[in-house]
Amino acid sequence: MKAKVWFGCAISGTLLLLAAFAGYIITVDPFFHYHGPLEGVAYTLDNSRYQNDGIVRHFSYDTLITGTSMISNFKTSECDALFGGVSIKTPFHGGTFREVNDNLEAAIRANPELRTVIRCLDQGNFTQDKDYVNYEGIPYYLYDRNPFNDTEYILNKNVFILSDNVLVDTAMGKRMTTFDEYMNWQGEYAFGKEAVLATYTRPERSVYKEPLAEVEREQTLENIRQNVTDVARENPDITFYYYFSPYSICYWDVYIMQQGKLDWYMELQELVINELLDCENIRLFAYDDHTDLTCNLDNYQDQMHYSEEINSQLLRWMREGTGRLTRENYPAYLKRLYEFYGAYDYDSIYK
Amino acid sequence: MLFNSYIFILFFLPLCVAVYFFLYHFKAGRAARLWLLCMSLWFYGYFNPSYVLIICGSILGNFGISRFLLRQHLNGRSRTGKAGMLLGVAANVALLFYFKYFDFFLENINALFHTDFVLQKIVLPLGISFFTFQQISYVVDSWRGETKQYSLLDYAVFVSFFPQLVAGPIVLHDELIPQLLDEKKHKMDAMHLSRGMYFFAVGLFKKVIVADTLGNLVALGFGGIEILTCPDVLLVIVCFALQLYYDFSGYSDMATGIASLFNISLPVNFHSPYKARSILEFWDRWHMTLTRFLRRYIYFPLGGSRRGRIRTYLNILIVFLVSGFWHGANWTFVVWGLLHGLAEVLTRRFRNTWDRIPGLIQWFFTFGFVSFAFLIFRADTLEQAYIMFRKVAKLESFHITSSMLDGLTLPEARHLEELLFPGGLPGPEGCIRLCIFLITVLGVTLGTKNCQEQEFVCTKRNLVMTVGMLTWSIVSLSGISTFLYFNF
Repeated sequence: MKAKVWFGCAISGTLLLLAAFAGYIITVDPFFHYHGPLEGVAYTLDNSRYQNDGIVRHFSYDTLITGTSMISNFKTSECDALFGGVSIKTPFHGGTFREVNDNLEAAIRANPELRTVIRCLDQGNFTQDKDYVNYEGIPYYLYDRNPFNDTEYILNKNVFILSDNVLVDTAMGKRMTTFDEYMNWQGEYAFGKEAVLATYTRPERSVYKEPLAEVEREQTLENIRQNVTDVARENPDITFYYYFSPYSICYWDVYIMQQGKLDWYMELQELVINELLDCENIRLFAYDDHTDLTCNLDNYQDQMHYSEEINSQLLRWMREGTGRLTRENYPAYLKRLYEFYGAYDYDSIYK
Repeated sequence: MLFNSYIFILFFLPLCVAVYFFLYHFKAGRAARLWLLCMSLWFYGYFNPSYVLIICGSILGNFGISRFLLRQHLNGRSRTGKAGMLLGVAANVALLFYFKYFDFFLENINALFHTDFVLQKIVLPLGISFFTFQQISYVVDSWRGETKQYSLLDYAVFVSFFPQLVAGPIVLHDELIPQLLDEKKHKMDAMHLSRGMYFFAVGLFKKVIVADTLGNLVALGFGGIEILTCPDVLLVIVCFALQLYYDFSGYSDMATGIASLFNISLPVNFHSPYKARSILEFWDRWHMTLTRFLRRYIYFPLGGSRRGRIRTYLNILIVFLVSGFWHGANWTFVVWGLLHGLAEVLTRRFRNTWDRIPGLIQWFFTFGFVSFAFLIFRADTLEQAYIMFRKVAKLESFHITSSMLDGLTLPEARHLEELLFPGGLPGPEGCIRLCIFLITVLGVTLGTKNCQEQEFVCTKRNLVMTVGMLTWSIVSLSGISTFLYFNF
C-alpha cells in the first residue's frame, strides 16, 4: 500500500469512527447535554453531578426542588399534587451552596417557565467559603457552554456504555427513572436510635466558643448573598421556598453543645435569617423548634439525614405555611431553640 | 500538556505539524523553527505558565556557557575551559537540586539534627530532570569541542522540542539539530507521517489502555496495604513492573511517533527490557538514553572499567546511585538505584557462573529482581516497601482479595461480558478477567517484538491496528468520576 493512501485512510478512518462514536452519544445523550429524554426511551437517572445540568436545561417543569442529600427523598409527585404544576428534582449529595446555586442559575437561564423553587439550606454549610465545592472531578465541561471541551463527553467510552445500557433497558421493556426515585436513598439505610448512634462517636466536650467572629460573619454573608439571595433578588417573579434542614438532636449534641457553640450558633442563625428575610420573594421555613421531629431518632438515619416521611411532611408544612419565619416571629423562634436545646439532657440520648 | 489529552491529539498536534510544513513550503525555515519553539513552549507551559520562565532561563544560561566553552576550546585555553565546564555543570545540578531535592535535603537535615527548617513546598517543573541532563551533555560536549556554533534558535528548539521534552528520550545535540537543519527533512513525507501515526497509536494504546488499567490495580493495592495478602502483593509487584514499562515505553513510542511526523528520528529508548536475562542486559534495554548518558558523562569520566576491578565496581555503584537520585527525591529511589548497582556488580563478578544457568531461569531471576526492586521504587517510604515484602516472606494468606480481582477490568470488557453473558461468566468471574488481562499483557510483552524493533511497512494490518488503537485510546481518555459521599 502506498504511504499516501495509508496515511489518508488512517486519518479518515479514525475520524470516521470517532464521528460515529460521538454521533451515537449525542443521539442517546444519557446526561441530557444536548436534548431532553427521547420519547419512550428508558433513561436511568442516577448520576446527579453529570445529569442535573442537562435536566434543568432540557426538561419541562415550572417547579424545581434543589439542594443536597437533604432533598433526595422528596417525591415530585407529592409536590405536584400540593403545589400544582410540574416539578423536577436536582440533588447534589455533599453539595455546597455554590454548587447548588450554579445549577439553580442554569435552570433560570434555560427555563423562563420556572415559577417556584424549593430549596434546602444546610445549616452546616452557612460559614463555608462562597466558592467552596466538596469534590474534585466535577464535570464542568458539561456545565459551561464551550463546545470544544465536549470531547470529554462525546468521546468517552464510559458514556458510550451508558448510552448502550439505556437502549438495552428500553429493549427489555424497562421504564425511565421517575423524579420520585431519582437519587432517593430511603431504602438503602436503616433508621432509628441504634442506627444513628452507630454512625458516630460522641466527642469530648470542648471549651465555650466565643460568639461569631467578624471573619466568620463576613464569610457567611458573602456565601449567603452570592449563592442564595442574589438569585432571588434578580428573579422577583420566582417564589423561593427555602427551609433550614431540621437536624436531629444528636447533631445539636455533637456539633453545637459538645463544642460549646450554642451562643455562636444562635448568632449565626439570626444573621442568616435576617439576610434571607430581606428578600420579599423568599419564603423562609425552619423546623428546629418542632422538637417532636428532631428528638425522635426514628426519623433519622444519622445525625442529619431524615427519612422520606419527613420530606413529605416538610412539603405539606411549606404548602400550609407552617414553620414560616417572618420578621415578627423569628426572635421568638430563636428563643424557643435556645431554651429547649440549651436545657436538653443530652446524656439521655446515650442511655 | 499531555500527549494523552484531547487538546493535544485533536488540536495542538495537527496544527503544529501543518503550520510547520506550511512555513517550510514557503522557504521560511527560521519561521518554521520559531513556530516549533513557540508551540513547544506552549506545550510546556500549558499547566503552569511560570515553567516557561524556568526552561527559558535554563536554555539561555546553558547556551551562553556553551558558546564560551566552545570558544575556549577553539582558542586552546583548556584550563579556563575546564573551570567553565565545571561551573556550567554545577549550575545545572544546582537548578535541579533546588527544584527537585531541596525539600528532601531539608527533611533529612531536620531529621538528623532535630532542626525545624521550613519546607519550601517547591513545585517540580515538568521534565526538569530530562532537559537538565540534556543540557549538561551539551555543556560537556562544547568543552570537548564536539558541538558546533548553533544559533540560539536552533539550540532552543533542540532543548524544548516538545516530543522529547517532558519524558525523554534524552536526545543529544548531534542527533537532533542536524536533522532539524537538513533540507531534505523540510517537506511533508507520507512515509514518515504514516510511521509517526502508527507509533503514536501504539504508544497511546500502551499508556491509556494497558498502563492505566494496570495502574488501577496498583493504586488499589497501595491504597490498602494493611489488608493485602501475599498473592495480592505479588500481583501488585508484577502489575507495577508492567505498568511502569507500558507507561514509560508508551510515552517514548508516542515521542518517536510525533517526532517522525516532523521527519525526525529519535533514539530508541526501550528494547523489550523484560526479555533481558541479566541485569546487565536489562540496562542495555531499559531507558537506554539515560543509560547512555550516565555511561558517557559519569562512568567514563570516572575511569570506567580501566582502573581495576574494585574501582570499576565502585564506579558502577556511583552511576547507579546517581541514577536512583535522578529518578526522585526519596530514599526509596536511592535504595532502588543501589540495589541495581549491587546486582550489576554481582553479575559482572560471577558472570561465568551466571552464563552457565539455563536461559529461562536467568530470565526468571532477572524479571523477579527487577519487579521486586520496582516495588521499592513505587513505595512512598522504605517502611511501606518493607511491610509489603514481609507479607510475601511470611506467606500471609493464599487468597486474592475480591477488590484486587476486579482491579484489572476494562469497563468496555465488562460491558461486553454483560451483553454476551447476561447471567455472569461461567466460573470465578474476577479470576477469569484478571487472568485474561494479565496473560495477554505478559504474552505481548515477552512474546512479541517492540514496535521500534520492527521496520514499519504500510500494510492493511498496520492500518487497521492504527485506526483501532487510536480510536479506542482516544475514547478512553476521559472517564466518569465517582463522588463518594460518606455523610450518610
